[in-house]
Amino acid sequence: MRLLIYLILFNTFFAAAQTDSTSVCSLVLSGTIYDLETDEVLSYAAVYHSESGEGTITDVKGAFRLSGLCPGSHTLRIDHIGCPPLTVMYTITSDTSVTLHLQHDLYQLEDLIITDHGNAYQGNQSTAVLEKLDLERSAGDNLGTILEKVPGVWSLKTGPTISKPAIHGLHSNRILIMNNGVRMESQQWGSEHGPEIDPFIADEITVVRGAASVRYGSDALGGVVLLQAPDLPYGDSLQGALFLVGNSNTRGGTVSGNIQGGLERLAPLAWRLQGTWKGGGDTHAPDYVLSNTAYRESGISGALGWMENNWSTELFVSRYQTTLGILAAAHIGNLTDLNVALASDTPLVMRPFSYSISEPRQFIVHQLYKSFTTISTGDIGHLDITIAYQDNLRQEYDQDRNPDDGPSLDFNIGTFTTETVWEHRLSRRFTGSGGISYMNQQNVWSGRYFIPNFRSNSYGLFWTEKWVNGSWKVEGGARYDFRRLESFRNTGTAISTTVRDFSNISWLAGASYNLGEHWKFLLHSGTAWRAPAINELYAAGLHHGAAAIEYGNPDLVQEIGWNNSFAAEYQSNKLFIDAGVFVHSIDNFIYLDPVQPPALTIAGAFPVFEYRQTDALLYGSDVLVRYMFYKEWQVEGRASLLRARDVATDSWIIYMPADRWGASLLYHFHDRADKGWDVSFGMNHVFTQSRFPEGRDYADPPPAYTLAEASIGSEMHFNQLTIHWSITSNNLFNVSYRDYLDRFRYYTDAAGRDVQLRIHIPII
Amino acid sequence: MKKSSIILTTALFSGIMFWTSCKETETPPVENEEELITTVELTFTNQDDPADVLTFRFSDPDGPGGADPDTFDTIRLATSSVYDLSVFLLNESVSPVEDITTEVEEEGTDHQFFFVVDPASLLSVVYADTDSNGDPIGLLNTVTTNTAAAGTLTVILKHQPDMKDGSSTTGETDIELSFITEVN
Repeated sequence: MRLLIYLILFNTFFAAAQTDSTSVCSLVLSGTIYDLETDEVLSYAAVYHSESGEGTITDVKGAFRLSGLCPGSHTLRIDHIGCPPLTVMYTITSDTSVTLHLQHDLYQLEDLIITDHGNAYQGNQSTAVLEKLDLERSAGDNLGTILEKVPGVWSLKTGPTISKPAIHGLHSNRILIMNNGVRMESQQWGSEHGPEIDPFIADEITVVRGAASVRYGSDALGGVVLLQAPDLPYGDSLQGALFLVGNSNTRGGTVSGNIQGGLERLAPLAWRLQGTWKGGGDTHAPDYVLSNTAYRESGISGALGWMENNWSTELFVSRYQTTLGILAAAHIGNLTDLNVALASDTPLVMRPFSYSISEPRQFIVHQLYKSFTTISTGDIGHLDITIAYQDNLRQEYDQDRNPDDGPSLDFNIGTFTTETVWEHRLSRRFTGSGGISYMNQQNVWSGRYFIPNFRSNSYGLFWTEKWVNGSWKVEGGARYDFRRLESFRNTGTAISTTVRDFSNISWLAGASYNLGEHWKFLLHSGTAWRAPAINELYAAGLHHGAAAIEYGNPDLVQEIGWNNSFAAEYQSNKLFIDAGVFVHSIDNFIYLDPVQPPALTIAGAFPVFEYRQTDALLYGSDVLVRYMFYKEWQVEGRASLLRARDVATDSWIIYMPADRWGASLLYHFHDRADKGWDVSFGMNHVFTQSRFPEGRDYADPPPAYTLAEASIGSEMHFNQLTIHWSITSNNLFNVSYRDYLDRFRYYTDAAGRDVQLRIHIPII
Repeated sequence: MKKSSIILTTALFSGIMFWTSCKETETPPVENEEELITTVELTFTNQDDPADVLTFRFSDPDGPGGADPDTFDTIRLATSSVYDLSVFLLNESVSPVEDITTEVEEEGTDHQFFFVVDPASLLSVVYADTDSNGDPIGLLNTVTTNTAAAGTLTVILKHQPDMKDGSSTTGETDIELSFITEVN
């Protein structure tokens, strides 16, 4: 922290004339404080008078006044949030009025007030962070694929283009995705509904592994994925970047660019504009083409911010749109079709490679409007207020339907959320946050019925405190949530309304201990909950493409999880270890149970499933080790294990990810032109899932598989520009494999080799 | 600046609060599936005696799931006879009843019926119609019975857009019904 010390000796002619007799301590020292850069008055600045030990605060006009002073020297220390303290000394002999200018360090202000736009994870749990460089290496991949690199995170796929993260085996409604500080609300209950988010909006992704309901409310049962947008460049000149990605497997590519800047004439203003376009044709498996898996995706977002000394506000708007082809061979009519597909080595529909997307296909548009304001509450903290509205439209076009008639399934869900959080520091050792939140959702459907229209109102109130003392950190917190769900169904003659209320108290307790310079231990225990999702309560009908009839259970109650985890971290110059174990017991775990007898329909017999509840126990471990040697080499090893047990029936839980491990070798060097080069080679092994309930699935879990990957990258210099490029190959040896968590494993192999070219061009 | 920011966010807030009490949510559409086939009617007309018409039905009025099918007739035909078999498809979940047969006929190049007889000696089914490409559809057929016997006649309708290859395993199954069949 820079320390600017001004020594001002102030002499007045009046003082010289009056220094003898009337030196009663009644002099007044007053003044006005201005911001050096903007020339605006600085209110709420603390003025501390060293000699008397008293202080005052400048008012809205930046004015302060100290009275009862004796003639002589007086030292004032001016403190203002975001500025290094200013110490001034005056020698006065009469009433004096001064003018001061304080240097504002805008970047420092950012650290204190705009910490990650108020959506940084402040808790004490096992987290993994994907930073800017990690994300650049995965540029162009979808979110599920990017997160697969994190130990403990698997991805649930529906073919090569749809994937969603599964943290410790839990996914969909059991994890929360925070999009720039706002919880993603869409039809996330569907395992074939990928998260509608453009990963390019984030420059950092944090994964919280474990129950996090105290901070985030319902659904944060398995964990939270936080996508954080970059901070706005207040006071900075124009900057931007362009990403170009080419994919050999789908013969497609991605273009993404962002541009941002501050305004010289208007220092408190900053803005950013960002856009992405992504497209490609059918995916290639090693032996054939996966027909109708082409995709088109686009996203655009903008942010505008205004920062003052004590407060700042930011508006964020984004629109994401995607059209996805659904594998033609996966659209089966009945069980006979499914059995034919299972018996076949190749997909039942194989057409030549194409870029066109025909039915069956999905079309989704997701819009987000957000306002974030942070207000300083003096030295003790700041108040963060988020108001957001998001609109999600999801349409599915079935194969045998005339697309001019409109979509077969159409859902439109609008969510309004608002949250006020007070991040505070009550004393030197106590920091914490407390807040209230509200969410209103409305869902409207048309086309074929699967889930009803509904309206829900959710309220939350939470408080957490962290105590820090030397090597110890202890935290605790609690939250109360309430949700009212009203669903509406039209029987033809009347509209029936069903109301369900859910409420829950979640708590957390944790401690971390820093041992010496290298070690850190974390222990965490906490509960989380989730209200049953709308499909679990009220779904009814044929799940097209899954050859199953599903029924919701309107009597379901909320799931409550109790997660205990222990993690150890070691960090030194050469070695980094992050190892953790967890035990998660979930009461009222909701799952789909086959019901006898099967239903007879016009297309034959279909298995019937009904949503039921049981008690589950999930436990496992994640390990990540990185070792650097000879300065240029780095070797990394990682492994994730998971066991998921249905305690009530004493059997394994279906569709839980298999254990896996991975290793990679990185070599970084500089060539004769002093250009940096990165070369890496790695492999990932996924075991076959041997822990599953017998007779419940259409096919046994697929065999184990190993995939290799390699990459090479460097930089090129053009005038002032440094362009980074890299060539990466996934599934380097073009191995045929199927993954247990891919719903399309019944019909086809997964993607074969993909060679990706990535170019990162910083502009301006 | 601070004041106007508060006014702005309050306005945004109020606007959204107004929207959240939208009434559209409370008036959902009636739940009926479009282009649903609920009923299959097999009409056998005796070629020797056109007045001798036998009709057998399968009907699941509310579609898959929900209530069980309410009609699943047993086919009873006379021995040593030749019948013209007409297949009719209806959607009886809506009013007035929707005739799907004509739709299938119009999209004849995308649909084909398959008839699986078990045991094979029970009766024979021969296509009596074609689509615009010359492939059979199966809405009109000729059925020949022999001696008294019993078994099943499975009626399969496959949706085979641009992929009609004469195989009953190609494409997506829209109908698969095994009628108990008696010839006596």
